Amino acid sequence: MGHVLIVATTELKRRIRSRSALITAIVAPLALAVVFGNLIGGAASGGGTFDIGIVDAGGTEMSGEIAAAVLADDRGSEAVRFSSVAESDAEQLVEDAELGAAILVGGEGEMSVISSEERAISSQIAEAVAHSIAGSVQSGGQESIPLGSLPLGGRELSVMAYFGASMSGLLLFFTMGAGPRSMMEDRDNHTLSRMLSGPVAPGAILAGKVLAAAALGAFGFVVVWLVTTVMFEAEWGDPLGVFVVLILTVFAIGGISLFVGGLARTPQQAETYTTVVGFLLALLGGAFVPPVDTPAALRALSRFTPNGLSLNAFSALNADEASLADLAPELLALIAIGVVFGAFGVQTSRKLTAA
Amino acid sequence: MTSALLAVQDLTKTFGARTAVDALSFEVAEGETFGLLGPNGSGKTTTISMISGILQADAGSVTLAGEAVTPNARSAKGRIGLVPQDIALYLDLSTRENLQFFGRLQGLSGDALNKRIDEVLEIVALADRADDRVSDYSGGMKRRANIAVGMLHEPALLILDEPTVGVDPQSRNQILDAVEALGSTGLSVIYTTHYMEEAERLCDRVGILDQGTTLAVGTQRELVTRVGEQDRIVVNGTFTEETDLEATLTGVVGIHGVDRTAAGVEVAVSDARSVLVDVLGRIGQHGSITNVDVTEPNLEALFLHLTGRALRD
Ligand SMILES: Nc1ncnc2c1ncn2[C@@H]1O[C@H](COP(=O)(O)OP(=O)(O)OP(=O)(O)O)[C@@H](O)[C@H]1O
Ligand SMILES: [Mg+2]
Repeated sequence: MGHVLIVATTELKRRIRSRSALITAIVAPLALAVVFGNLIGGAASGGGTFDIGIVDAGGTEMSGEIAAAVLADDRGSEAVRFSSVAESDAEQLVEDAELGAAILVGGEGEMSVISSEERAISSQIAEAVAHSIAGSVQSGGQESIPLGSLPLGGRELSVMAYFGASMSGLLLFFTMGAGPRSMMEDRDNHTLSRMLSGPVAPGAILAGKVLAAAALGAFGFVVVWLVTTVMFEAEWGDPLGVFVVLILTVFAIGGISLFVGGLARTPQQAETYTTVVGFLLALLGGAFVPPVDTPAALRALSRFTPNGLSLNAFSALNADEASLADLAPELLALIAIGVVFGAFGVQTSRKLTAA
Repeated sequence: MTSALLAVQDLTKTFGARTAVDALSFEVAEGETFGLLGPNGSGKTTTISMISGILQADAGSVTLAGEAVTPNARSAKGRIGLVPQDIALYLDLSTRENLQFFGRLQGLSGDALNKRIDEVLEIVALADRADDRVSDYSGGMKRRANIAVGMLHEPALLILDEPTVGVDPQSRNQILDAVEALGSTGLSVIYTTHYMEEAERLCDRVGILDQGTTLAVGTQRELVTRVGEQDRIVVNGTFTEETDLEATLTGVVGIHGVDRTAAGVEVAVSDARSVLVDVLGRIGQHGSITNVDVTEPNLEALFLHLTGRALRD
């Protein structure tokens, strides 16, 4: 453990000095949080308004009432504005980007959404509104429409928290890839041989490098968490739970980075492999599109990716107010991924030390 | 040798079809400076990598004070200090920071580490530049910093792999002085080089390495004897017939041969110093001398003798 910490602290020192730590742990996560925060438009952001058209498509008493109720509901967020539009105009307005999306209210109170593929977030919000209206109608209640939240199998999930978590998961691949990459750089500039000529185990060196990368990755994740919470009022859920899921996400992705990095022979290869695998797993894990619309097969698959597991856990925390105990399956799976892939990675990275 | 600190026995390493080190054996005594002399690609670095436990040998053994040295032998490795052929330092850190990092990995810490860092900085004459980044150093300074890290943990055996390659004469002298000083403190040293002068100046014993195996091992004197123990007196000038010169020199004790050259004459003798005056006097009677040079047999000549090739091409 001593050697691991010595390697990790020196690695951090060098990365802080080269400012790469600053970019990885602060600038990139901050940019991510602010960009997404504004795109999604939290209550406090003041920017990024979404115009959503409401169409009384059914022309029945019920559809008229629902449409009127939505239009009258101004207790939502400044970020979302509703306007009444005629059915004949709706499609054109959405296409011209005059409207972010439109909700059609049918005669029986059923709802559908007209959206543009180019404006995924608006359509997500429209979808969310439609779902919550439907829910509200069914319960006959007068609940205000919770905006900025997504339905997920009947649950409501903070959009900010969802995208914050998924994008942070993606970012982690880039951050964590620095561990194996640094080991290869050390091989190329002979410092690896020098370390290995001393009483130091190769695994300890790699572990130290990965620990340093993980520390920066976790720090960046916390930045996203704090910024989205403070600036954009994202609701991630129980802080302890969030912290634990966050750390285990870093652990699992760290393991995968070790594995992927171990397959590479040069720092450039390590970079490329990590990018490809990172995007692939993020995509499968539902980083770009919440699993609400994804086919069941894909959703099942996402449960085998660290991103998917992590997002599931985060979703449960913020939508269901789940406790850590409820998340045991996800958390154990994340640990298993980290351990298994990490062990493979350490094994394959021994090649590095033989050269 | 009973007091051998390091014993290398039948050490072998192949890379694909190429045998880089071929059943190599030698010993290094306590306090001895041992030279490994060989041309490019003769297997010096490969040998050293196995001795310092970076590289797994295919066959053979390395033992340090009776303890086997392998990549997993942590305690034995801790007693060896390696100064690699390539600069193995973090260029974005200062020499002091490099020393702190590698020193901690070697198990040093606190005041003991700081004190030792100051000592080695003094030895390699970098004390006044210790806090500059290594990237700002000259080539010679980088080499010296590289050496400082290798000896930081006070190893029993210090291995230097061509530590003077590509440095200016001043740095080179500083490096040789430092190694000489270290050798005289009772530290065992392995020094690889393809510079004959360095081996001659620093080493108690030398192993001549070619194609992964030693052609000869011994003290300089022992090795040189194998070339035939002949000094050469090279006399330039204009002289009469060769037969005259041979005739005039036959009476001198210890003369092995006389060769006419384009510039004059070369005389092979057992000991140039004892016959020089006599030889020059006799040759002087048969012409006029413009220049005289005496060459003693050296490792360079030995290498040529053993391999038929020059050490450096
Ligand atoms: N990792 C390797 N893979 C393949 N061949 C290698 C490797 N390392 C060394 N060799 C080969 O082994 C032989 C010995 O190389 P080595 O580096 O030990 O020589 P050297 O005496 O140190 O040479 P130099 O004076 O140039 O440093 C060379 O033919 C070299 O090409
Ligand atoms: Mg070499």
